[in-house]
Formats: sequence, C-alpha cells, structure tokens
Amino acid sequence: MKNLHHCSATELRNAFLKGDVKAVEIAEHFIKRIDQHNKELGAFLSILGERALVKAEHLDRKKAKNLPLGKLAGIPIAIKDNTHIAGEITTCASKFLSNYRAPFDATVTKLIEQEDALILGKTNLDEFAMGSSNENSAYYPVKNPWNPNCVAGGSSGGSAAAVSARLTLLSTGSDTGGSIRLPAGFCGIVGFKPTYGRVSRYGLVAYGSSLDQIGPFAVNVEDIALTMEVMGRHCEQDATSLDFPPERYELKKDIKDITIGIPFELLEGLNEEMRANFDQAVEVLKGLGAKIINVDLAILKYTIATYYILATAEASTNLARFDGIRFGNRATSAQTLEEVYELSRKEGFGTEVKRRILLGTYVLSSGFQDAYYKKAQKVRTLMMDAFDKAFEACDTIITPVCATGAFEFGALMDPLQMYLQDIFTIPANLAGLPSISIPSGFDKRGMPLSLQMTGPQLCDVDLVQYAYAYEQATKHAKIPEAFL
Amino acid sequence: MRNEQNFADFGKTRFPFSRCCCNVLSTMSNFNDADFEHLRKLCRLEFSPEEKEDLRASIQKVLGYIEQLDEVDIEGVASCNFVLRSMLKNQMRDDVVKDLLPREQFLSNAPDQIGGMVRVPSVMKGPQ
Repeated sequence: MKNLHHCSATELRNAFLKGDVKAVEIAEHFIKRIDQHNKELGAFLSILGERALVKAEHLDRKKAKNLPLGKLAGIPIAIKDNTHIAGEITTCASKFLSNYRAPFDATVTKLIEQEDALILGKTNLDEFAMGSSNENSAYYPVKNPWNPNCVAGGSSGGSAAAVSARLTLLSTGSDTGGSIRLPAGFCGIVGFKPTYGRVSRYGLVAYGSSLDQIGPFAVNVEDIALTMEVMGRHCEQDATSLDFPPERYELKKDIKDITIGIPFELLEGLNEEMRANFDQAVEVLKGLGAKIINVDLAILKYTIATYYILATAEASTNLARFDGIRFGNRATSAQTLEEVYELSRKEGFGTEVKRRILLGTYVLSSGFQDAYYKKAQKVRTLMMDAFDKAFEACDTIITPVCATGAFEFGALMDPLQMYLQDIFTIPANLAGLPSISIPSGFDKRGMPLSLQMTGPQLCDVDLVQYAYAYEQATKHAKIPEAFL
Repeated sequence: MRNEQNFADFGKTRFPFSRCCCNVLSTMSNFNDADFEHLRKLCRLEFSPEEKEDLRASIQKVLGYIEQLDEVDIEGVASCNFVLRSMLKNQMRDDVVKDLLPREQFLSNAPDQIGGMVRVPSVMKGPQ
C-alpha cells in the first residue's frame, strides 16, 4: 500500500473498501500531518481530530460487519469555516463569530457525513469569504504550500492549501467571484464551481446570495466527480436549489470534435509567460481533436465594475444580521441599542468587510439604486446573453484562471488591484455557469498555473469530462516537495 | 423584494430613533465628510481614525472605477432577476411550521438572555 497521502480520494476509498487500510489508520495519518504542518501553513482554523477518530472507529466496525458503506467511505475531508457543522464553531474567519457554535448541519455537511467521509476540521478563509488572497482572515493568513512567501489565494485559501499539501484529500469551498477556482489555481489542484443552485447553500453563511455556490477541491478530476455525485442534490431548505435528480459522472478521455471558445480579446493583456502557458494548453486540446474558435465576450470588460456593485449590495444586506443581538459579538461597552450595533460591528468586522458593507450600502442608497445596482443588474443580463450566444457556437470557453501565478504577501495593498485578480473567474458567477480550475504547469518561479474551463448552465457533467480529458493528457498536478 | 425598497426609507421605518436616515448622499465626485458620516450611520459601523481614512479613500476610488458602466447601452435591457435561465419563476412551497431548532439551542448563541428571550439594552430612556 503506497503512502496514504500520495493516494487520490478515490484510491484511498477503494483501499479502505478492499481492507488494505483501516479508517482509523487513515484518520490518524492525516491528523498527524495536520498537527505537523498547520502551524506553518495556517490552513485549518479548527481541527476535529476526536470527531474524525470516532467516525473512523464507527466505519471500521461497519466494515467488519460487512454493512454497506457510503460513497466517500474513509476519505478525509475538510470543510470551509463558513459552512456549518452542527455543534462545532463556525467563525467565517471573523472575530465577530469567534464563539459561534453552529446549531445545525449545512446540507453539504450532512450529505458528506451520510456518505461516510472523515471530517478533519474547518479551513481558513478571507473573513466572510471576502478576498482573493486569504490575507483578510482575522486569525492568520494561509501560506502557499509551494512557497511560504506567497499567498494561497482566496477566499477558500485554507481548503486549497490543505489539499495541495495533502493534509486532507478533499475539501469544500464556496465561490462567489472565484473563491474556489483562484486558490485551486494558486495551489496547483483542481477546484470546481458547479452551476448556480447545483449544491445547496443551506448552512453556508451568505455573502452574495445570487453568486454564492459551494463546490469541491480535490487532487484530481475523478475525485471532483465523486464528490459532486454526493453534494449535488436538491434541497428543500434552499429556494435556489436545482430541483433535478443527482447527476451521474462518467469520465471518458475522448473530447474529439468538441468546440472550444476563446475570448481572444480579453487575453490581450496577458504577459508572455502566461500567454505561452495558455497557448500550450490550447495545443494539447487541439491535439485531442478539439476545434478552437474565437468567441465575442467583449462585454466582460465590465466584469469587475458589475461584480463589485452586485456582490457588495448583497453583502451589505446579508451582513445586516450581524448586529450583536441574537448571536456573535456584542460590545461590552455598549450602553444603548444603537451602540450595540455600531460598536459590536466595529469590533467584530475587519476593514475589508466594512469596506464592502459601505460600498454595498452606498450603491443601494436612496437616489443611487438606479445609477448603480439596477444598471449593474442589466449589464449582468447582457453578459448572460453574450454567454448564451457564445455557447451556441462552442461547448466550453477557456481562459487562464488568473493573469499571474500566486503573488507574494503584501504585494497587492490597493483594494481595487486586488479586485482585478478575479477578472477571469467572476463572469461564471455573474452568469451562474459551471467552471473548473485545472493545473496547466508552472511559472519560472515554480508556482502552479491553471487553466479555467467554463460551460453552459446545467452542463456540469460535460465540463468535468473535458477537464478530465485535458488532465489525462497533461498530468501537471504534483505534490509540493516540502509535503511529499 | 428588499432590493426594490428604498434603502434610506427602510432605515427610517426600521430604526425610528435614528437621526441619520433622511438625507440623500452626494454623488461620488463630491463625496464629502458629511456623506461618509451619513453612510457610516446607515451601515451601523464605527471605525478607528486610520481605518476611516483608508475606507473613505478606497471607496471613492472604487466608485470612480465602477462609473465605467455608464458607457454600456442598457436601453430596453431587462434586469437580471433570476440567475438560472431554465428556472425563471420563484420556487414556492407551503409555509408549514416545523420544529427545526429548539429554543434553547437557538438561544445558546445569544450574547445575553433572560427567561428564554434575548436581552438588549433599553431602547427608550425613562425620565431621569
């Protein structure tokens, strides 16, 4: 049996089902790795070792009695700390919720538990999932397993770094403007944002409700498919949940005769190195028989402006519930009700969260709603129309995940520059599209680079299939040397 | 829908004792101290002095950036009210009362409670 953390999730589950390894051995192995490495990486905010061991013992007993085991049996998984596990702390990496104990399970948590995964802990993020570098965590930043001077990307930086360093083999993230795909890209693993509504958001602390979508991180595409079969269920407690039967993923290497769209106009600003990496990916796909065409998505140059109106507007309303009354931080110095609101929020929220609440409140305020919010909602329609038209001519659209590999800590101090990092990932959120980030090589510094493939709404299975074909033809994913 | 509601009016009805909900903010180009103070109150936020300057400057910059949307011709374009194009209607279900969360469990996160209820500082002051 090879080293447990060198396995994929599917391999490890199969080994457990065959009896080659016990669930308790798996739990102990990964908890030990987290204990060893989490101080340097900062990927986990809480470690649920005891819980994982109890579950593992239970699985071993079930196995011994030949009872049926779930689809994720024995697979270690981590949950982003903005998603509830009943009875455990959900901080959202915010001081506001440092003691908040989730009173119920998120639907994804429940589904993962039911399928017998081993939940190892809760992963770090930008506070309330607001950020692209994980530098906005109120606790500590996540370091990139490929280079500790570089960021892991955000907002689901902890989930990405934990899988990249093989402290777990699966993790969950939430993606509002790229928060799964960007950190997956920066850390050299696979990250998938499904079609809006595919995975229930019940029990996910809301940021931008019309944009948020939960999805998995994994070491390869096969594991993404496995996890999606578990997570992609209709849920009554989420009014935006897709009411379709769960999808079956069949992975084939053949993508002959598919048409791939590239918005060449949007790639003009890429530097030589990034362009070369992207062109290489295009050659691989051509070699597999795909046809390449240009697609006109010029309207996407307004992506960041549209997103920072809509996302902040939704955030400002969603975060109004953090008022110090029913849960979370209440300022002890507050004398009046108004002081309870203002001082609790002052103490509890970090600067980026305050910035987005201010912006969102401004664009929704009297006299400005038409100029900002309503206009952005119309531009969003134009973007969806442009995607619809593009998908009449192609099956998937590809771009890099980001215009660079992971940058160094402190490199982007200007909020607007930070926002621009998400230029390639945000469109899929605005249009509700499935989109996947998949390793495409390394830059000169040795930092991972990634390709993004985006498909039409509801075509998640096809999209994952294309990513699988590309992955099988390239095999760029590696374990960082420091974590072998 | 909340989005359709005037935010300032929303504040007015929800927080009748607040003093901050009647004026209208200036446009970005002359976004002044008074506007920032008004916005702060709408948000029920407080800042340290350094944080305040950082926020004011960055918000002005971002608002300047998003004004580029003025270039887009949106004449006759419908607002995007549904993200999923195959589900252009609300998902309705009967409003049935279920016992999903026991009171004690909900209250276990309340910062202050009394007799099975959340306790807050007094809203109205009596005569001194």
